[in-house]
Amino acid sequence: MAILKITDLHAKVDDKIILKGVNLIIKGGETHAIMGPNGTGKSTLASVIMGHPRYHVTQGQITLDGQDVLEMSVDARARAGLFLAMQSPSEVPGVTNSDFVKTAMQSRLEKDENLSLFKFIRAFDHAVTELQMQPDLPHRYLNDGFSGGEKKRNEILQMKMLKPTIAILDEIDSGLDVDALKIVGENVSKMKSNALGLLLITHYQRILDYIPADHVHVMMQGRIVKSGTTDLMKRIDAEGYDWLKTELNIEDERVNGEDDASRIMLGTCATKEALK
Amino acid sequence: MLTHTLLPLNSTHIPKSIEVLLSALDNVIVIKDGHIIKHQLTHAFDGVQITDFNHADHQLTGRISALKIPEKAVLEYNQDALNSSLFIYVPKTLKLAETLHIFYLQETIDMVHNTMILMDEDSSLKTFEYIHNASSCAFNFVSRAYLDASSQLKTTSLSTLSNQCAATLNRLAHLEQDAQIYYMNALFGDALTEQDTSIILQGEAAKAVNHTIAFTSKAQEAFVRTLIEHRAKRTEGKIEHYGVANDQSFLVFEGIGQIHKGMVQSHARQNTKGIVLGAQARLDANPLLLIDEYDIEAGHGAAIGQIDEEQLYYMMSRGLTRKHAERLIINSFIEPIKAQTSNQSMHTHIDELLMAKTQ
Repeated sequence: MAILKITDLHAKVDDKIILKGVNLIIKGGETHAIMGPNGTGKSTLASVIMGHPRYHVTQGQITLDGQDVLEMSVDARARAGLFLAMQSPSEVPGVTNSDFVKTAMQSRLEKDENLSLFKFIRAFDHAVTELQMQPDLPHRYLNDGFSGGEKKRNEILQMKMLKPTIAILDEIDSGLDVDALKIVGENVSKMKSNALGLLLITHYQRILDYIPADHVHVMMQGRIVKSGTTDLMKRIDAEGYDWLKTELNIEDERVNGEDDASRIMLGTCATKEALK
Repeated sequence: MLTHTLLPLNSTHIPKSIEVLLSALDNVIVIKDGHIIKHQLTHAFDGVQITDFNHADHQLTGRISALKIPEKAVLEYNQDALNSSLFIYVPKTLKLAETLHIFYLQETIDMVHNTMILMDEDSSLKTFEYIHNASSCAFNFVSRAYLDASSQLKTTSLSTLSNQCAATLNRLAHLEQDAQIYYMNALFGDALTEQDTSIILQGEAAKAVNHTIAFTSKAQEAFVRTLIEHRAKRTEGKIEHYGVANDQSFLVFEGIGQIHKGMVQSHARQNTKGIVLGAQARLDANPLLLIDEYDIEAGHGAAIGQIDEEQLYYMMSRGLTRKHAERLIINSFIEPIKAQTSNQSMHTHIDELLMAKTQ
């Protein structure tokens, strides 16, 4: 059973400190949800765990089954069992989805081991069907010209194929219509087992209707300020965050206060914000 | 009249690496130091004239040599010092489904070669060229094509000229009404290279695509220039320049789309994509559109730079090493060339050539 342990994590981007002491433990079989308003550091946490080159850890630790994650390169983290379904996945024209996933799977095998092409194609086709994607997906270029919803499904498809032990889904629900949300939710729920620890990052509770979380955390000012169960999520859904801010004596929940312009600079999350 | 003397041939030996490629191919012409040493064609090519200039029908060659060519020293030298030639004539309405493979091999001489392809009305041909040298040389290569009305020519060319070689690769094509040409030129060699392609769309609704893929490495320099000139209405030209500059090499792409006055409803497009792989490498793109008419469509786009860090991060986040991710992205450049041949040993060979250029 995998254990991801995040201790007192501080991280910055371009000299701006975004995470200010995050503590979290995710075990195989558990589903955690991190909620919180915009600009509180949720997506940064996901990027830092995966090792995005723009983010720098200034303090704290991340371990996966006792191994120091921060010492690992991005690809080593993936091979160790981490997976991040990204909010805005890159488009890579010229590289087909099938070649990409095949290479990713091959990278998990020993040097002298070869991926069975037959099994791969069967598994890929099966995943395409389950996610109700277009059958020509394997031959299309990676995320190239995909709609927002297609990209999100493609992330889940890769997760199905790569079978991580700890998966982080960063706003997998954004840009999905109700039908697509249902498909994604069902596919993720189906993967749940004691071998998989899940971390959902979301603004809204609606994804949690499909993927129930047993631990709910609220992030503000770059920290987890409140943890609880589904009851916490329900109260937020009904009342918003104001009661919590009052309770915790927080005036501005964002990491960098009024500094809205700088929020737009924060990598992938911000791209979407900037386009609004 | 176009004739030339042949320089003595050292031997008819074919290098082993090329023999491997030849063994699996049908319809092969091998020219070595000016001599046609292999002429192996299926019956599909009966009726197609394939020979050197000395043996060609001069009424036919005259149809190409009468065309005006730009005043350029390399072209004049090619005429004056010619020592190697190939003439191909595809008669009216003959449509060849099989690909003609042409190997140009240099062993001891400074090659001064000229290929002329005459496509008569409504004919079609696909060729696959392979250009190779074995010793230190200058390689002056000119390929001229005349496409009569409604004919089609598709030429894929793979150059592997070594760093012992200085190469000028000139292609001149002249298209009549509704004719179509498709050039795919791949530069895999280490030679100091100047590739210059000029396509003239003389007839209405003629179409041309020039797709060049160039890989430079070490201290190599390569200059690639493509001109498509629209001299008739409703003509379409597309220039695609793809390249990877490794180490401290220098690669230049210059694309020119020229539409003359009155040539309405013509399309001139250009697309350049370049990856600067080497820390000291340089890649320049100069797209030019010379337009003298309003009722046309034209555009160019260029993306030059290092491999996108976001793309690499995304790919690595699935477990691919940085090297693997870069390789997949670079490999995507050669897919169009591989698509031109189903020959497995050629595919392997292209992979090896790419590997050598992009390590």
